[in-house]
Amino acid sequence: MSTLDTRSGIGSDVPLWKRYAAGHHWRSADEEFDACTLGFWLFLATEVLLFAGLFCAYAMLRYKYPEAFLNGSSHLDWRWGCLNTGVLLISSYTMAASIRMFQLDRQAMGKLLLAITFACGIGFLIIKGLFEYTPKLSGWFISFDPALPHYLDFKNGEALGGLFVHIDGYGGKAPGQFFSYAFSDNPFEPLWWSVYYCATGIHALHVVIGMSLIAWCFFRARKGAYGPTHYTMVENTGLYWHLVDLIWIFLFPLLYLIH
Amino acid sequence: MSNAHAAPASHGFDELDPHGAGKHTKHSHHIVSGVTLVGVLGILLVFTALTVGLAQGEKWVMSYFAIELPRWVNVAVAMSIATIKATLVLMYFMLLRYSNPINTIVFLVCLVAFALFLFFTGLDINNRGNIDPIKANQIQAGGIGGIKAGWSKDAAVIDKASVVYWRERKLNEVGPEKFAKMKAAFSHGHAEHAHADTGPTASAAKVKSGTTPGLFDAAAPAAHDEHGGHAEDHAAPAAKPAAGH
Repeated sequence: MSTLDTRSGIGSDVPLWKRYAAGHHWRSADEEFDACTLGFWLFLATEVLLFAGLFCAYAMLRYKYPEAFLNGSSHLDWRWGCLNTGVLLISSYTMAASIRMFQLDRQAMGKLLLAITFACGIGFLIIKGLFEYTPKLSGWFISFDPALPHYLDFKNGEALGGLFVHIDGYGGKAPGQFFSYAFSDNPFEPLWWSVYYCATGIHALHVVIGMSLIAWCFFRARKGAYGPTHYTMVENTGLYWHLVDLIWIFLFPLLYLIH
Repeated sequence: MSNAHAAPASHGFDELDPHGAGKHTKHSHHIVSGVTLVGVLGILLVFTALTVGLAQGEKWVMSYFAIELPRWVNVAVAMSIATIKATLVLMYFMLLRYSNPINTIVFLVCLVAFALFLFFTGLDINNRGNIDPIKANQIQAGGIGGIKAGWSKDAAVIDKASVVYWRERKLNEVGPEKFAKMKAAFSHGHAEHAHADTGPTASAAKVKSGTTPGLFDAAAPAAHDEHGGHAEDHAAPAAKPAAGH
């Protein structure tokens, strides 16, 4: 996307972003920025349509099997979902604020905010993977999981010196044919888990991709690549990250707040 | 874009930019104020609390006044709030309010495509029974079996609905007493069960294929056909997720 004009500035004090020259086929850097952003919005449109398939599956299956969705959703704890919503919203803010800092050439703050955004992404994945996916799929809880005390009567295993505790019969809430949970009252519940894991799994994959882009921005920013006249990469990474947030804003109530 | 008309006459005709395509780009680099960003974050967090509060509130209203709110209320409230939140993110975090309007157009066209997608799929799902009546029903409860119960090579092949298979297997393993205890713990542990019976309420009298004890054991797939008696109750939720986008 970018050509760094190093001919004029090697060894000088001029930061990279000032030495940036737009591609020679553009009339101006502004035009290049606009075209990049438009291209990125076109890409985001395809991303929305990817998730549209999942939302469509959700709508149609919930329409046909409403009880299965009610039962399945009752296994989710809205507090984890709410916490993760908060984490993503805050990370969206720090991302937007980071772009603002690079626009104002406040490099240190810009980098710090990128790092916080990345940390929020890790927090999101830990909550999702360690406190939601792992127990539901396998019955293994981490020892400080706040839900664990309710189930200790049925403890039947430990791993890593007690760091993980296995609860007999809790796991097996897996998608489709992998379902092996014994206490479901609804014959269609495996369908709900299919939708749940597809939707949140593909969303989590987008969180990972977004975090990789943020990490890339961070390391480029350390070299001084972004500033008031050139921050296209940070801007588009931000757009991607906000889209991840946007999808979660709809997934959260649809998955966790059904009653 | 026909910004040529808006260009000040004093600038004259730009040969390199005859249509003024470059003129509107002055908005591309809008710097949103810090106060706006913090304010939007605050509103987003408040709306998150609100959507959780309202969902809990609906539950409370239903049990306190012993009424059954139609299911679309839950979805409509949640999706309205989500739409407001999404609009704020799009306008202020994704800068659609300040950037080139073509970006907004791209996004809106995408949502129209999404709406069409949902509309025609819904049309299909709803009307299949008109041509081939068997397609109006639900699928075989819990799958038709034939899959393996586990990953190992010599795992048993499930010869019935998978949910039934796993339930019976666990019952044999731990006995009915412990089974009942485990079930109670897993259903009422940290999350309030969706259909916890709270006394003589209107909802308690309603047919609940999901939780009626024993119903599931004896049931053939036909018993779970929810499109016979109370199809109207379930008609609402399907359309609503679309409205959110």
